Amino acid sequence: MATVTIRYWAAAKHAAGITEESVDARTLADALDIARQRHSDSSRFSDVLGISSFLIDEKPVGRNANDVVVLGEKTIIEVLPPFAGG
Amino acid sequence: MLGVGEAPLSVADVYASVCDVPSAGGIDMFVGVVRDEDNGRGVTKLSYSAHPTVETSLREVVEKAIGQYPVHAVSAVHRVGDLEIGDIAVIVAVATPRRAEAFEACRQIIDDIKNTVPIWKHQLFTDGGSEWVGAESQTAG
Repeated sequence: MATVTIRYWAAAKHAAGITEESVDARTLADALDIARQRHSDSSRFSDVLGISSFLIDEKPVGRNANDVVVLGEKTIIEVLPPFAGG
Repeated sequence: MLGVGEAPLSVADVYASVCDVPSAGGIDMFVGVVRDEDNGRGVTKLSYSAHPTVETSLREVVEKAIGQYPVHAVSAVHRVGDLEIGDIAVIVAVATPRRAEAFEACRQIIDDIKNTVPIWKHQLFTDGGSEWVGAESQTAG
């Protein structure tokens, strides 16, 4: 179990209502589950999380790898909703 | 020129950055501007924001094109912040020896920018609503 920071961007920040928060979790999937529970009052939060990609300490996480990503102490998870430049 | 910032973008400046290459016979430019409607809803203005890694990501997109096409000069710039209808959001310019590669490389760069560079678009509508493009609808503009 590690204490990590989840940082939200764009639509995820909007849905969460905060820029970042701290959670205690072992894997990325655990951390996201805790976040979903905390923000269960937001109608958009879970949906946005479901279509977002993630950075762990600035490195991209592969698709469907959330269960196998074990978090270290003070890890920063970044939630990136789909990009829409141009 | 490569960059992401809040200053208004200039077609002339971007063209000037790629036009002085004697080996290039074709320059293709893409200019993306803010449109007044999206999926039938009137748009009043929009706001772009970006992740701190945005310029690294933009550079990777351009370097990929340089690796695939005979690019003799290239620029890619994207604006962030609040934009009005008609404002330029993005400019890509590619100079190559012949026209075919210029079209293809420019097309690839703008498509890759839309898909892989961490920029987000928040639209405000004439009906008072708002939307994070791609995150609240599945139709990205």
